[in-house]
Amino acid sequence: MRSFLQRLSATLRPGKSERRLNEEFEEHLQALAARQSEQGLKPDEALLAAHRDFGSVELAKERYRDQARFRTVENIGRDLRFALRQCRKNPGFTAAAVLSLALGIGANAALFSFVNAILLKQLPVPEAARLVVLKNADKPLRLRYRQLNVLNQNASELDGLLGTYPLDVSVMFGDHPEWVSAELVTGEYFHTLQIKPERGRLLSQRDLDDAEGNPVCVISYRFWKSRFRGAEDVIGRTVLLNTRSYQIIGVTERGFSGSDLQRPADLDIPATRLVDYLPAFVGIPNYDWTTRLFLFSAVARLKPETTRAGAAAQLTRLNRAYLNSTKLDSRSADIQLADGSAGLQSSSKLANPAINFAGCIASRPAHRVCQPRNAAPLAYIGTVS
Amino acid sequence: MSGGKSDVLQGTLDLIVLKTLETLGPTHGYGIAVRIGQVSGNILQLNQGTLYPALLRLEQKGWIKSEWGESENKRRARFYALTRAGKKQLREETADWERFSGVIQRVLAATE
Repeated sequence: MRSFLQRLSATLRPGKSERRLNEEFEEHLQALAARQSEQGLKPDEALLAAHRDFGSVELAKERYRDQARFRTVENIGRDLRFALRQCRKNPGFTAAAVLSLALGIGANAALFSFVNAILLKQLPVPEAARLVVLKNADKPLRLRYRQLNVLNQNASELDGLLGTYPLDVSVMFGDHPEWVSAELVTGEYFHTLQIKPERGRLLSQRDLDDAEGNPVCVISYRFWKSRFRGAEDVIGRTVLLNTRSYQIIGVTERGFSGSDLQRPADLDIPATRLVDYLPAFVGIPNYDWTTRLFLFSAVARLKPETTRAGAAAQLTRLNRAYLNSTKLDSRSADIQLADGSAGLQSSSKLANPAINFAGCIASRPAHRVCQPRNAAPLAYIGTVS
Repeated sequence: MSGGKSDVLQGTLDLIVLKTLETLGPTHGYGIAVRIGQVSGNILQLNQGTLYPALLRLEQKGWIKSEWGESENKRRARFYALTRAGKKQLREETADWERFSGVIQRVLAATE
């Protein structure tokens, strides 16, 4: 502690310890030289001998300073001063950097708050305000497939209850596979979100029930345009998803990219094809994952005249009844409903201009040019006639 | 070890300095360096510049204290003296050293 305080004070005011250091070293060298003189050396030889005995003066000084002060703090201070000096020396570059930072951060912030309010805060679906996310103790609830269906069939306060599980799927394009962001969805998915098809038709409960023998999928408008060049005959084509072939039955309406704004999805696959994607979990003999695996995030649409509290109470009641009937733990049967107009989750980022600027600096190595105070030539070479 | 001289063993410089100050009383850096040279019969090759960081470290630990004074040749010099904590430290380090060198001697005797 004592040592820490001493070093701190020496770091803040290096002058004192520096004077002491110089004085002590000087005295030591003089004393050494004096002894050498006594042994008969000339003054300049004596000083030389003294330096030999003492060792490198600068090295010793550096070691002394390392012990006396916090060099890291000092070096950071030096770096800062160097940065400021560089800024002053290159006013053009500084102005450009400051301006681009200011514009970048400013414009980004302004645009982001606009986009956030208008676009990102709300799913591009009809009457998004009626959407709610199912939660328990403030955490998004994960439900079983069968559970979702039972709740959906009995919840008279709701205008649809969907379940979705996000995952990346391998899609074959020609002979090379590509990861595509997908959602495994229940039959109520498109009905709940009230999404219309751009082409073909969207998934229904029937597709979910027939999925085993008749695998189908739906693609997003963006995916249709970018990967299929908007081909009119895309409906009915087959695609290989995780090596299984699926038939494309429809394209979702323009602008729709799934239930999570932060994770746009391009493929919608029937949840009942889960075994293609999680074989280790699901493909176990005599294991009915539809009643066991709680996997699906849930979003519901309230009926226009329903309150959130009323719907939550009904869902909790139904959920408890379901859990009791299946002899499952019903302690956490409570269901709360949170605003679902923005979909399943949200987050933000603002770091881009700072990163750009850092790249700008990195590509501009520091160059220091020594500028002699009097620009006098070191020597004249030539003859005088 | 060549030439019969050896560098000061890492970690023993503290002990040597503390012992020197105990023997001589308040002394300046040059005096400490000269004394170490004399006592060791010039076998310990102390790079005199390295003495000062060590003195500073000991001072920061509170084992020695220092103040300005006047040297024999009427010049301003910094004098170092043992503190109470320094005396205690010296006793502990001396005991440690004796134990350590005793062990080494026993080991060497056993192998011969």
